[in-house]
Amino acid sequence: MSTVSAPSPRALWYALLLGGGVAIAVGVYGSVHDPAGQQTISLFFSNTLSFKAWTTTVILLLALFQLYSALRMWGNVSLPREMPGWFGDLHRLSGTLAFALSLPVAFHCLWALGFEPDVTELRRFAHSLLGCLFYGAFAAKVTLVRSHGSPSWALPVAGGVVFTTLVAIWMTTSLWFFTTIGFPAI
Amino acid sequence: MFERFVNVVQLLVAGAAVLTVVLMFTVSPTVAAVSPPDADRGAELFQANCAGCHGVGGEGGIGPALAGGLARFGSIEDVVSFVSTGVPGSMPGFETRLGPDEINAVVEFVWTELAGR
Repeated sequence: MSTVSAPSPRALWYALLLGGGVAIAVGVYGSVHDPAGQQTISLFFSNTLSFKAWTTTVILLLALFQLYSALRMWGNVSLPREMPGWFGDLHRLSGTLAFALSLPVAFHCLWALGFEPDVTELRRFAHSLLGCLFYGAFAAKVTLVRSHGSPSWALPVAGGVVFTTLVAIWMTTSLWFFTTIGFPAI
Repeated sequence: MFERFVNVVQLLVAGAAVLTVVLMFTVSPTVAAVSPPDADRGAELFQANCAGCHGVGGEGGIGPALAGGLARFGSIEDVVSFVSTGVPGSMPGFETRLGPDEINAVVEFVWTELAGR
């Protein structure tokens, strides 16, 4: 006889606490750290800002695949009709690569620029908040993925927050960069 | 096989995340502090070339305020590049008016003394 465990609010609270802690920690670091104000990694781009604008765009593309593959795994879309056995691992890999690519971007944001506290600098202020929220939501989502017993709606909601936050981050940085500084501005 | 590969990638990325956090707390900026003679020279050049638009104290005027600002730039090198080339229809490029050393001096003055970076 199989048993179905009832949804546990404890797993959800763990995820929320961890996500909130990560978001606050990122914000505190960005606020108290003295911004270095210098370039970091730029690879083959002309400067770090170009690198960040394009890297964030690649992250957004990976996130779009994350969204699509999640919808397929949850049965909300039916393409491909038969889901390959490795589809879930491909979903994990795309998310992992997106997170990996975000690390050098976040490093420059936090270490070289810091948190923008001035509300009148709306784009930078919003971007600072969104950056903190992104890593908090990401931490919560990863926790929920690995926990068994959280409510069924929790994971899609967490994934939706991560995706929505990332789109807003892209709009306040890469889109701003491409429309203000130039395109492709490599 | 693919699952194992993804697991290994996740482990490596987790290590990279830890390394990133460590670097955030241990790497020191390498930008040298501006020396007093350079600061004086930069201040003079600022008053002669920039204050007319950006204000004597960088408080803004025709051009935007510089005091407490410049966060749109990722580094002091970005400001040097911006000041050198300018923006058509908005801010003149100074590479034809000032030498590279003079641009560096005035940007260092703006970056450290006015923008407080």
